[in-house]
Amino acid sequence: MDTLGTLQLGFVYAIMALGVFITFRVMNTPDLTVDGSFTLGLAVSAVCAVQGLPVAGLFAGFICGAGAGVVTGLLQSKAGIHPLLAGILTMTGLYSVNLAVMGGSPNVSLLQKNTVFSELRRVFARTDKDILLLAAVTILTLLCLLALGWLFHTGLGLRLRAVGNNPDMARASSINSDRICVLAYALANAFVGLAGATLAQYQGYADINSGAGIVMVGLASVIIGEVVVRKQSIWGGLLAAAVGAVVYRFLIALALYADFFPAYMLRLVSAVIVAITLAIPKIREIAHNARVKKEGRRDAGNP
Amino acid sequence: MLEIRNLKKIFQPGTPHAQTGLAGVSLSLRPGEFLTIVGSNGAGKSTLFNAIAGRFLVDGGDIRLGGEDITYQREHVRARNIGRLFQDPKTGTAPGLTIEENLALVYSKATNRFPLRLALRASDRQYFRAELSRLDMGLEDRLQVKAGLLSGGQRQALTLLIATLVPPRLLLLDEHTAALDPVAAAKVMALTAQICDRNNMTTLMVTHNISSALKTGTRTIMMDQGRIVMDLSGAERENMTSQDLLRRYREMTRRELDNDRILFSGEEE
Ligand SMILES: Nc1ncnc2c1ncn2[C@@H]1O[C@H](COP(=O)(O)OP(=O)(O)OP(=O)(O)O)[C@@H](O)[C@H]1O
Ligand SMILES: [Mg+2]
Repeated sequence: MDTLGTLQLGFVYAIMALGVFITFRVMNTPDLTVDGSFTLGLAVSAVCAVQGLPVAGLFAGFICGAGAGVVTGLLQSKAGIHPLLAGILTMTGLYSVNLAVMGGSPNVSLLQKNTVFSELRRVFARTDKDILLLAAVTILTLLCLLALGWLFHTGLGLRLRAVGNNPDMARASSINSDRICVLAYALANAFVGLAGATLAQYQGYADINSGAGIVMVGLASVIIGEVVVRKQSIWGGLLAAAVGAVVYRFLIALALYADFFPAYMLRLVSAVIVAITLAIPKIREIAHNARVKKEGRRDAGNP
Repeated sequence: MLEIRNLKKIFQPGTPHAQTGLAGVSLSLRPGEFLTIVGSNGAGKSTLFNAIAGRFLVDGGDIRLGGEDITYQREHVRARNIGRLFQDPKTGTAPGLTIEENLALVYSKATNRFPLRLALRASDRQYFRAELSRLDMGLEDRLQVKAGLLSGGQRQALTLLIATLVPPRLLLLDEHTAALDPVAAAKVMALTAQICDRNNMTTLMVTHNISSALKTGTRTIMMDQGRIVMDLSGAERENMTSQDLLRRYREMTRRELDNDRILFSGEEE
């Protein structure tokens, strides 16, 4: 098993998981824009790198992701469309946008092109390639995590959390919940876009289908992370999302390595993980009721 | 302070479900006045509050607050000057935020602090602790506890503090003690009187407890079918008992005040 490679990939996806955490946990709605905004990040990043602007590509991925989030945010807050449908609408539209960005072709290769990572390798020529890559993506992820952790403790951050937590209270506290909602979706998808942008340059290509099913990966990461990191604060949640993304990569790598299932089963496995975790409260309730019933019968048996 | 003229609201007009919420309500409050509102279910008390707070736009009439016409102002803009408490203690605080974050959320906004500055400073904490200790519930030692873990009475007291931390021009209390047990309700009611008195706050309070409506504040109105049907203050209010009020209602509307909660509270004395 390629441990370093898995770690590297894990940290790239961790940035995406941080974005998913914002909508899924802070705003309390899973955002389906992610599939589209992730690919959008890949596409713009790859195109920028082809043009010889790899660093700009990362920024562009961030900004374009934010733009996609703004669309979803406006669709639900201003147009009153159901949050899940709003996400699906943006995601669907983005498929065409992403193809347009990639000049109509389903993939863009960065072979022989400069990427941020090839630039880094040139600068730190003496460092081991894999260690260097790992350091780069780890630092990037940590920066994202710290920035978000700080943000969620500012006045604006408290407003974001309050709108997701209790919108009525937020409005009664003179918070413009529509604007905050748009902001939250923009922020979330900005990080998803950045993750896509990083991935494109990391793997050296962008593919129109790279983002399919990414929502599930994000949700699964957040959930798995919460099992590992049990601290229920904002810092705990962010850390959980990042750690969860890495763990998720390892689970997948392990399963493939040990030949538990073929690669094409990944999506199914992700979906099952998410479904089971989301069902846990209900499963607990059923188990609890069964226990109560059993005890009740027993007590009735021996008065 | 508050000037309401001929406020009208019909819900779902032009349908068989049309409901009159407000049928021309006029009301004028001086600064510092504490008005209590009673009336049967569906009388339009909450509708009046929602109209003032901007949940919906009214069909007619106008609302002025502190001289400013707010009839068409958006809800969150009005909220700068209007504090609200509801019956359900869950509505007033963000359960996932800690006590201090709930306070900081409102405080950093009300004091116009730059939104990208940390919302909680050491000095804020000091201030929040002092304010919380006035509630006399031990919350000052539980700043980092999530608001969702507090009891109903504690949450409602916290909400009261949040709503008045920076005193609004107007405070709207909609049966804010109705969901609490009697002890907690009495406690929150006492805090309400204390806080409103200290800040000389202009307040509207809906309650189904007639004796508490007559005891609290300076003026009492009764609503019925979207109208104000009685307006009591001064000596007339001083001498009025719950039984008198119920009788007046009966004579005026030829109906019993159709609310079991009111009958209970009438018997309480
Ligand atoms: N959003 C709404 N849509 C339709 N009808 C409404 C709406 N809000 C209130 N109403 C109707 O307006 C009337 C007044 O309701 P309101 O909630 O103001 O009564 P209330 O005096 O607060 O009663 P309660 O003591 O039960 O709280 C009722 O007939 C109610 O059914
Ligand atoms: Mg009501």
